[in-house]
Amino acid sequence: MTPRHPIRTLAAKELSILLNAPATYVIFFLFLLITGYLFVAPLFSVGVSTLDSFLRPLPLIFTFTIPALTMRSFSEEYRAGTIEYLSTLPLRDYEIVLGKYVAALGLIGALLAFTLIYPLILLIVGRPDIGQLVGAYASIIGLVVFYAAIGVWASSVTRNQVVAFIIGFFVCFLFFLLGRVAEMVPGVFAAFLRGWAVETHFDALARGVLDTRDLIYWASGATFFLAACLASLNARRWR
Amino acid sequence: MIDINNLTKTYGSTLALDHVSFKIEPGQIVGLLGPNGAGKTTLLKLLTGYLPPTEGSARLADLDVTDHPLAVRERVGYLPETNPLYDELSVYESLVWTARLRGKSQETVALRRVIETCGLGSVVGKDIAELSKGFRQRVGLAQSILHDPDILILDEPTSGLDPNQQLEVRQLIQTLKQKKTVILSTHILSEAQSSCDRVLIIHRGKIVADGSPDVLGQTAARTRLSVELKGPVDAVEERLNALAGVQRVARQRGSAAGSALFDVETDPETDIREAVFDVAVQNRWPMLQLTVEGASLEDVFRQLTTTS
Repeated sequence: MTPRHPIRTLAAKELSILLNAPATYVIFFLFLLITGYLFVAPLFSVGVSTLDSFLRPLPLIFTFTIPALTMRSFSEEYRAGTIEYLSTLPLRDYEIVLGKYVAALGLIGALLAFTLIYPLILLIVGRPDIGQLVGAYASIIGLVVFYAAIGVWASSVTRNQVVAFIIGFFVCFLFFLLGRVAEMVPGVFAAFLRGWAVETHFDALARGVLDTRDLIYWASGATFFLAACLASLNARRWR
Repeated sequence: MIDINNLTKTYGSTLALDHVSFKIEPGQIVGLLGPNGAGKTTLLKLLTGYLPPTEGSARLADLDVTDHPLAVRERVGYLPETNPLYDELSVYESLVWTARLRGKSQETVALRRVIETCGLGSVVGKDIAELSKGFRQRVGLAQSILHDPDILILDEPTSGLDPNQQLEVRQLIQTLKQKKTVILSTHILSEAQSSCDRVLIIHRGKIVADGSPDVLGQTAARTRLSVELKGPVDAVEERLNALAGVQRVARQRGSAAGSALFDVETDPETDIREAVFDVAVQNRWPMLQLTVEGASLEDVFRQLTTTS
């Protein structure tokens, strides 16, 4: 008998656990507090209605928010020993990884749903470019897809949630930092680094420029880290 | 039903399981006995496909565990040693998601059956974190039998439970006996003796004994007697030790004032009851007790697992 919708079932169970954890709400609160301030400050001080002040720092804010939300994905399973039970159910390893990943995306999606109030306010108080708003959220989704894969992978390499957070943060931060480093190095090397940096692809899409290279960047980055997660899960059995 | 052939597992340079082979027929309850670190859990993890073998093969329900892991897992129910559960979920949620992952088409019927079988009715709405160890064990068992598997693998199912809870879990296992092949690991010898049709004793990764608990008990190299004589303790001990065929005399607590109670172990060919009687008569030590304890699974276990 083959399990029905194993990824969906696993993701639903995972989401239920994450939504029961007080830490989730603390992270939600801090994220909304920071982004809320960043959004509101220029609106009142300069009187400009733009999503930029919320959007620009997101690649940096997500470097710690997303690993914080994903750090328990596999680490907690290892610590509690539930990975043994999960791995002896009729599930393929990739279904377990995707179940965790979909749950992480669902949780971050719920967090992002709260931020929809920012463009809504802009629509009420001004006349923002709709295309740019859509582009902004498309770039946020790209960033989330990439960082969430890093976060889930980081949690698969250790049984300690704090270590998983630190690894996830450093890898996300590394991809963020590449853009800044590119500004300090000469010509060809700078272009190479910019190609790897999240900000390059985030900014392009946020400006409303739809480029397949950006989509490939997010998709291939996420695929790479999910494959690494799968390898890490598999490697534990052979130790 | 279960066919293990030369199964070997190494962790780095440590040999955890050393060319183990055995077969288990359908409907048997087989106890896997062994001291800590003997290789019991490793063997069970190999049977469930959680760990890959270094060498050899395991076939469950005519399916090779390595070649058909998913098909095997569909036919096997497994309760790991630590009984890992998701504390954040309620008992009901835990069973529902297991049923869904198991692809149970008649989810409600299966849930009702296991809740009743495992006596979970009173705690079904509670969070798992709130449950006593006994109920946690029942939830683990319920999860493992939810899909009505042909084979049940239980790793120390009564570990850490109080005697009443142990009895409840044993009774539960007995109710499953008619329909399933059960392999359970334990280091509680009385549990193996009372619950299992067959016992495999494992030591340092090897099967060192295989048979029914009664037959294994008879293979013990010693017979044990309980002897209580009313006389000076040291003198009684000295005389008992001097009898032919006696291997060991151990003083016991709980004897009445002025009397001495001893456990006397002899080689199985020697019957020392008459000699003990003669000692009592010659020394005018009234005999208060003389009981042949016989050899037990415990004796066999000790003999086989304490050798270097």
